[in-house]
Amino acid sequence: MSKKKSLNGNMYLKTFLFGLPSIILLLLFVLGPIIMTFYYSFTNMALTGAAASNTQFVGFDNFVRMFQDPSFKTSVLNTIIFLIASAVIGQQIVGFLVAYLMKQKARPFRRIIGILILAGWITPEIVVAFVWFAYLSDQGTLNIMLGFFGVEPIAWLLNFPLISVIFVNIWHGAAFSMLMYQAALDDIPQEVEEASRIDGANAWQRLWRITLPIIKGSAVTNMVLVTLQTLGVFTLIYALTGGGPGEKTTTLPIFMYDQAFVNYQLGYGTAISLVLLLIGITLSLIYIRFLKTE
Amino acid sequence: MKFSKKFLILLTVLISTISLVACSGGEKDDASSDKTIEVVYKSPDDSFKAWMEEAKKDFEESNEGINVKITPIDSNEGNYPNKTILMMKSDDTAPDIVMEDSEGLKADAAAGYLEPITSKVENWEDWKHFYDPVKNGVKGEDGKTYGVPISTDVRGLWYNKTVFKEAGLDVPWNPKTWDDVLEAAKTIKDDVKVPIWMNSGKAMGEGTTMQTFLMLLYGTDSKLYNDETGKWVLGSEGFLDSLEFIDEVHSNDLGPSLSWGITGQAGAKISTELMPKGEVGIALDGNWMSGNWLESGNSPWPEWKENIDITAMPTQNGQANGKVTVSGGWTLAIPSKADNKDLAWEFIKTATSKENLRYGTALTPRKDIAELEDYQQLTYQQKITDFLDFTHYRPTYDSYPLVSSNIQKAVEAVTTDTLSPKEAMEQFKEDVKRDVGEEKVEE
Repeated sequence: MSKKKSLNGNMYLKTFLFGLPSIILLLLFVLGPIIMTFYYSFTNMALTGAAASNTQFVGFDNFVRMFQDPSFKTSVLNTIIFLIASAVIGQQIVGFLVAYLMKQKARPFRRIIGILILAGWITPEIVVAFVWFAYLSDQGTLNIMLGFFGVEPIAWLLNFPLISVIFVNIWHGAAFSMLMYQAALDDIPQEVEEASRIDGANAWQRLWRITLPIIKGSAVTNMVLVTLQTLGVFTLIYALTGGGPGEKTTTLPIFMYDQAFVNYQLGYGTAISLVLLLIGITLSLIYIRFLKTE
Repeated sequence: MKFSKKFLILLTVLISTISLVACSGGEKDDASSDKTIEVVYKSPDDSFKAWMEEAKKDFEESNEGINVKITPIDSNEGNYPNKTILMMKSDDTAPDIVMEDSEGLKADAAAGYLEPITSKVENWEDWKHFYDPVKNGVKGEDGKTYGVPISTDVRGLWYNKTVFKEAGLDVPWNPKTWDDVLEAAKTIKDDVKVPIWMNSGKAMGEGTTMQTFLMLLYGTDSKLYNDETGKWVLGSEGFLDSLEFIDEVHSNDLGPSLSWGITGQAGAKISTELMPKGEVGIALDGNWMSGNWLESGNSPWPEWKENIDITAMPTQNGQANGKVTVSGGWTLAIPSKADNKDLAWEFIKTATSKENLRYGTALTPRKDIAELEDYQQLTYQQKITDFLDFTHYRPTYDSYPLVSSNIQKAVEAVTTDTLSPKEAMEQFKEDVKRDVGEEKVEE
């Protein structure tokens, strides 16, 4: 008994020692920056000017300023709209629908559709932005196509900026959700579905009572991943609209960039990034909580 | 046996940790780098590049074994400063010479990124040939000199003579008030794609503040900064009038289509594409614009002189001396973390000498060059140099970037019709109060 115990202790030590390098790496490159961010957000750190050479602790000044700044409120609101519309609703539903409709379809069909949708996902964000900029511009493909039906050209990025970037982000990201749901749907045992069919459940009931409850775990995981990814979207919006016109597409990452690298207020910028981090953590916790209670 | 196993594990861990630490220590370049001096500049700028290549040739001939490396930093007006700041912050990436906008010079000097060169310029006999106002513009708040000016500039109204003549407008054109400018733009509205071009977006960064907003504001009776009290002036009548001028332009569709007109690419599209096509009536922009159309420029246009002329921007109602312009300019500066400061200084002297300083069509900061015949023969150069008589310099103090970016925000809001001029001014007041502090502003 005692020998076993000491062996166990030995095992723990070994595990710890072997894990040490990765623990150090994590501390250094993950926790370190977070702590630094936390610290900098309480300073007047600047990219240039006197505050750059003489950075001082300023307490909650950055946060007070942030909550007085109407642009901050606008960016939070834009971020929430962007997040809910493009990630939570758009990508999830489109991704699920595609995966569900493709289920048990002929293989070539699955292949072709899958590749087409994946193409949007594997294209780098900056390329996606340029492609869509061209597509949505005054003399872009979309306006030319609409022209056949006698529709006057519409300056999409100017008149419907937020809707446009939301749409582009759905187009870009839906494939990820599709892959997640495909894997989850493939895992549903055939017998369960057959059994429900024999019991007389219609397609709607099978989806609602059988399929969705079984893949709930994957759905929540997917939700967490997609949410965090969308919270951080910068390139796409920046290249498409630069956060404009005005502040109509300024989400928190854009607002943070503007403060840190246009106004040179690094301290203020880090404070904003901290808020972004907190939003990410809070949302993830809520999703996970939701998974546990149900 | 047991002991040695433990020992082995410990050793593995130790080695992996040590190698981790080793990762972080970057190695300094080898000795040969001492013989290379690196100049970074804002690209694309073919005039700068052509001039630097000449200076490099000259310098390398007389200094054997020394290489000059000319590094372009691809960027727009808005993000060039932070790209260079990030380079200057680190010993490993700091260049030896940086092309620095006089706008950011005071702030970068205060931040400790630039090396003071006061004693160097004072012992340099060429220094007396530089214009005094320009020399004042390269001093930090501490009164020390931080850069050698390579250009100065003015802004004015470029206009298309052909379009004007066809529309029955006077050529040469001499507008006396803002209304004259708007009237002309309205007259040619149906003849061109862009009746009047002005930088009007956040994406153009300082261009929007300087080429558009300050050109208007300095033509009113109001100020941006009160030198006596050392405070920013908020909510002046001239501020509102300037925004209303911008509103007037866009609400009458006299500007470019906003879907590209407020993006970072708009300036290039205007000067290299639409102006040569004759699709721009008036452009309120810098004197450097014509540099694009030279043979060495980005968009050569041999016939430009027959088509384009420049005239001074009038004050609001013709007050003061009737004309207004704003000046800035570029400098060559030495970062405080540069490896070869002395060599860098030697190169700057060579590059900015009377013989070498030929920076496209930029206004020269040297009096002796301005007198040269080949300089005066540049198209409109004499006319443009005369603008310096009534020019204004910007209050580029520490908090200027914050005030400037709030100006850009207000201009874009009015341009896109998100806010009315009055609302945009109210927002500007609130923003600046919050960003620079109540104690630094007055109404």
